[in-house]
Amino acid sequence: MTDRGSLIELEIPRLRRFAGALTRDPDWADDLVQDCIERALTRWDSWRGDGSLRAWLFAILHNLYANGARRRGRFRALFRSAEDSPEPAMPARQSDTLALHDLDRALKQLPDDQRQVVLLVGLEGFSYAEVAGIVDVPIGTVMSRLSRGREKLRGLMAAGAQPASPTLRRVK
Amino acid sequence: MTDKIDRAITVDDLNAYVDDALDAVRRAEVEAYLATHPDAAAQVLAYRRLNEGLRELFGPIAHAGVPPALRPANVSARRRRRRRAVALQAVAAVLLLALGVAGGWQLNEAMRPATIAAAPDFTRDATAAHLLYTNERRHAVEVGAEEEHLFRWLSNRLGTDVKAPDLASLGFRLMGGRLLPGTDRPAAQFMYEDEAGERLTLYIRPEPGTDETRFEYVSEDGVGAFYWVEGRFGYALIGAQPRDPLLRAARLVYLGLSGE
Repeated sequence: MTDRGSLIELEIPRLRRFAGALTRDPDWADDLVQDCIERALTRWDSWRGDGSLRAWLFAILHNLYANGARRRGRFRALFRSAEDSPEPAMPARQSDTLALHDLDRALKQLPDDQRQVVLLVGLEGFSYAEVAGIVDVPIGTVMSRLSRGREKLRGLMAAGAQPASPTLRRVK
Repeated sequence: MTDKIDRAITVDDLNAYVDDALDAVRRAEVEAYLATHPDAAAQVLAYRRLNEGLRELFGPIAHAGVPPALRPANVSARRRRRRRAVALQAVAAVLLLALGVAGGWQLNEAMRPATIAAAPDFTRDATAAHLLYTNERRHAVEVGAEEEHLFRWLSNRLGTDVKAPDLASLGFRLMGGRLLPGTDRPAAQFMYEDEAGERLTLYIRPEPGTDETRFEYVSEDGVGAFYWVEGRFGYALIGAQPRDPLLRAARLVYLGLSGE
């Protein structure tokens, strides 16, 4: 128990970072991480130990997110009469630069599946094969989501910052 | 015909270059390409900046330290406490009931939630079915959760994909389900039980003529129900738990039911 607990604990900063970037909502992010840890502890035996613990934990987190995200928005709207807690808001972020602010905003406009892959690769440094395992799609799908996601981010940021900057085509 | 022309550089190559996912040969080819294609070089630079920006934006979360609530030891301790709390609540409910009966104990009228009598038909039927079948020890369910055809059977009869969300995180396991008479089409009831023997039922019934509602809570005589109508189906989650634990379960049920 202490063993698995301390192994899992080492991964919590990364899990929180990814969940925070994915949800843009610190309360939701920590709910996800907590559920992820609980599930990892109770299903420890299903981690075969031959793969990376980090990737396994991220796969659990991804599943929790995928199952919950779709219904969460509607749940909140619907539940307001029964549940008195207000919707937690992401605190206004102090962006160091205009570019970071633009990135923050552009990221919100990405479709969920592209945002996840962009974050798993670009922020968390997973290999394409690891991302394919975490998100449970073929590696080719990972690469096309990554390409589309990054290209969209670049376009959004170029449009936000410098409307004059040229947009490069995918095929030259 | 050079090798470079045979193997045109794609946007996937540029991404893989940024992510250091190319073998040495391909890497060299991409570098040669970038040297003569400023557009592609700018694209690579932009992608690198994206990654740096992401790390700058979200890096602070990883360096913030682990909140005590998320430490695995605390997560599992909380889970054990939660299971114990459910058992204690059952004891407390019995005690309160005894006190209430003995002392003519009354809730303040203003605090009293709407009664089940005031709820829609489907919720009243759901409560009646709850009271009837949760008292059954040997025949609580018609088909056990372990039987493969449980969901297929109920889905066929209700005309929709019927699911029983996982409530294991609250200490409840699915016992099984049964088919019940409804209005137009039949209704389904799923029953859950925790280690202390407390039971919850989830009732699902087609309600084609009923408008979608928000979550509503009603209670009466020590039984509470959260109900809602979504997508032409009425749902009621019923149990003897106090409002807040029942709300947590209702929330899980709601989140666990798939969109369609």
